[in-house]
Amino acid sequence: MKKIKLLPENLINQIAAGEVIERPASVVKELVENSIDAGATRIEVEISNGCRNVRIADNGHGIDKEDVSLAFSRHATSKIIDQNDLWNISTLGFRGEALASIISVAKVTCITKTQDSNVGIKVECENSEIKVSETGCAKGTIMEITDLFYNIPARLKFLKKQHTELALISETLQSLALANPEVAFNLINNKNSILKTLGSNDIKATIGEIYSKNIISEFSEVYKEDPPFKLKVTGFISNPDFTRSNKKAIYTFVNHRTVKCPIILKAIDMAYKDMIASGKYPYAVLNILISPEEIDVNVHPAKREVKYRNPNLIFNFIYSAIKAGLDSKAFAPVQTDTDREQAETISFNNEISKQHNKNHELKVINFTDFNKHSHSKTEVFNEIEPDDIREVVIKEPMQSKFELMSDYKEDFVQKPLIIGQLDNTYILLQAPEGLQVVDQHIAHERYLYEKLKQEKTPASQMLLISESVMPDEEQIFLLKENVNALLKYGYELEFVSGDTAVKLKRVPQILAQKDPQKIINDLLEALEASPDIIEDELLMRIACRASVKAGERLSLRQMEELIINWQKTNYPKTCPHGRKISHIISTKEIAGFFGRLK
Amino acid sequence: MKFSVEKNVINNALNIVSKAAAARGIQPVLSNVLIETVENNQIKLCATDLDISIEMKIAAEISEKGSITLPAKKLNEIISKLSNEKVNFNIKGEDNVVEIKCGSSKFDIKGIAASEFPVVEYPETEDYIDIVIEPLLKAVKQTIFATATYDMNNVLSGVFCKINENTLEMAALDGNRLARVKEEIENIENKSFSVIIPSRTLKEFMNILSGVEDEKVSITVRNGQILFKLKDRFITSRLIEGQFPNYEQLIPLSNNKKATIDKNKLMSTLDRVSTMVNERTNIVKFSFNKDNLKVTADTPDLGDSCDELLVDYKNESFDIAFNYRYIQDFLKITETENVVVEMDGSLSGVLYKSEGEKEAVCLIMPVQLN
Repeated sequence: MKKIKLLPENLINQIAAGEVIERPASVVKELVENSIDAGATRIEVEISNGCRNVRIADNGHGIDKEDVSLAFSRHATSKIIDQNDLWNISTLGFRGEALASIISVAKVTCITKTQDSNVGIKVECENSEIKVSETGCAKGTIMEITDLFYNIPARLKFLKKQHTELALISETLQSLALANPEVAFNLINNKNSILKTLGSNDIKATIGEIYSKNIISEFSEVYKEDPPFKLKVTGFISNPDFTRSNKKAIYTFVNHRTVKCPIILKAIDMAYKDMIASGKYPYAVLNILISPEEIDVNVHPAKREVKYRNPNLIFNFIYSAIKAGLDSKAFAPVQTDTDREQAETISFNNEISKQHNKNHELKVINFTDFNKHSHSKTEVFNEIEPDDIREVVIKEPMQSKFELMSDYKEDFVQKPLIIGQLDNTYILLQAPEGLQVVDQHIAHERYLYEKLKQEKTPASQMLLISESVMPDEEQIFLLKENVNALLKYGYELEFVSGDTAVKLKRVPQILAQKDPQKIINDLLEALEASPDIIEDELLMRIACRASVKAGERLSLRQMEELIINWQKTNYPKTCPHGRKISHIISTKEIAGFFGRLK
Repeated sequence: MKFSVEKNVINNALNIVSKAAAARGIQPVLSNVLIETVENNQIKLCATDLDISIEMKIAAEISEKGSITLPAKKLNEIISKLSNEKVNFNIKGEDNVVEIKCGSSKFDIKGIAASEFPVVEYPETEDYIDIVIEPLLKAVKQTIFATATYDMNNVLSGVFCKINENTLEMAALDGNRLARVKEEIENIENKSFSVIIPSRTLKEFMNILSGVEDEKVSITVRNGQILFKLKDRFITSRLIEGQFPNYEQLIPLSNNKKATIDKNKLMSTLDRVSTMVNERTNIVKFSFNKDNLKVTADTPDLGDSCDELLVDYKNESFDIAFNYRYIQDFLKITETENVVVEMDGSLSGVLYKSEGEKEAVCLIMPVQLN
């Protein structure tokens, strides 16, 4: 008897639908992507009946009468024509599967009208059978999906609770909204709008609409272009002290397509390394534009993954772009356009700092002058009155000096206005925005870490004698395995009593006066954490152990020095382990408390 | 309680005693000074933080017996600001308020009843050693700077002190350096002991010696406590328990590169050069050449410094680096005109001695530069 037979088309579609249409969110994704491909600027998504009914209305170019019936059959698409197009895909869809899949698992009504046609068309599909009629409507397409999975009870059973499905839809739409800031989205659930963007074509505004307006001050802009490789990345990333504990807020788009791709995630991870805690992730919206020949999007039915011809190039490009974005933030003051009052204070402060810079220039010239000559000039240098300084400038306006000056200007940090020390642990500062509370230990740790990293080969103090520590066998093994790495960073170990105990023979100079027992414990902790880069982990431990402790009383001068050093660091927001360093209580908030705000 | 006392006398006494009061205690009474009338027209002042206790007796005109404790810091401040006249103390009523009068000034200060003050137990015994203060003080000064500061209960945070027959030996080390000194003493009772004394105790001991005429101090060691007793005052403290490292074997005997350097010149050279030292590491480099020493320091991004001085050095050229503060610490306690530096390799310990001195040595470990 013949056992093998061709399946009916309806069944084929249902099986294929399993790949594309997993759940209501997939329906939304496929249909909204169609709307975007149709050039829509306004898309409204309405959800009801426990996420089983979805209505999507757009103002795109609609479907021609001649095309309508074909649109719903499998492998029918307007988006590509021949094989060459497959390597040059600029639309979101191209497989021609979505509509066919959807009509095989749900009842679909489609009302559409193109610019040129006078009447709209209504298409009703049930059980993959299509009925076409004419109707009146505006330009665009309305897709009404009802009773999703009505004919696949198994799938229906596997649907999660309503709010989980809704959250997934919302996530899908967020992602699409961020990828297409020029399109206005509106997500409605049971008549309540839960997500709304205005389509201002400003990614910053869109981020604000999706999260909250205030959040934008926590973001840094990313922009990098590489014309020879036709690469461009734009977007926003959150500052290291503004994180969440999952990767959900990382949105990456390759040619406007939402992708979750390991290379980009890894690049983000690396860029944020030693700035945020493990288990914390930044917010990121990154739009990567790449010439379509360089990628293959046809590797996943839902197109969530992309293959690159040159993954290393992409990694380095994105890594350096993010790094540059984070760096630029380190110095720039936050300026929000909305708050005019604040803008005024900032410009006022700029005036002051300009004046400061001027004074500084004069001093610098003096200083270079001093350096140029022999040490015997010291006395002359001391005798120069402030009035004389200008003369020095005019007399020797050498080119090289001016270059030096500009370097100094960038490094110049205003003397911090220190209010005092709280609980021998926190330094209180007057910042332009208000009261700044700085954790002395963490701030110092950040400074030392960056210094140590620059130096690479630290000096080490030879030890006369040191207490021995008796770790367990495994730990001894671990230490032995890393003897060379440790040596490089200034630790020399001696294994004693038949390799059951360990002693320090020399330690990094910066740790010379610290408890040797604690130093060894730090080492073990660092090694046991088995980090990717053991050296960085060691430097973190050295910095942590060597820095000022919480509870240590500091003099005003010490606090000033610490704050200046900290402000000069590249990433003053967080410590190498990702802890936050400072907190600002705004003057506004304080004024509000005392009822001084009008 | 009612008595009067000369301002300068009580001011001086409070300066000494209140050092033992707890800066911030769980028990408020530990931040107070106990004032108690005793026989022979004397009052006793005492403060303790339970680790260290200092007690002192001063002359006073007592018209009514009694005792009270008063906040050490406040009392010290009041007394120091008074005019140079007799100060009258008087307990008013029963609520522990003490009236302090001096000239036209008058203060009422609230105290805590003396009964709440812990009883300071000091080992009173016949078993003591009388030694001359001067060599002891010298030995303390020459060792105390080398104690470790990271853990106050660690043996290395104290000074090892050994007395037997006619020698007093003291030593301190913090892992990076060692200071050891031996002094001849008169030990009539021919007793011996070896203990580890917390560095803070020794600092306070030096402090209570201010203005005393005593030539000798009696030392008693008992039950993990040490007592230094002078005629009118004493200090007692707990000792650090544990095994002090065998430091003698660490002192190299065959360091044969030898330099003799003018102490004052080295001091000012270090002072100058260290202005450019990297503040996190404090490293200065010494380059010895024939009869010449070059000292250099540098800080990346800031600059460098260099100075040279004439020394007596006859061995081959030699480079070595140190934490300059360790050398400064040694130079500060050196009284001779010249110092002798004995070296071996650039990674082995270097002996610093005062010229002519055999038994007082400071062993400093160098820094390895990469």
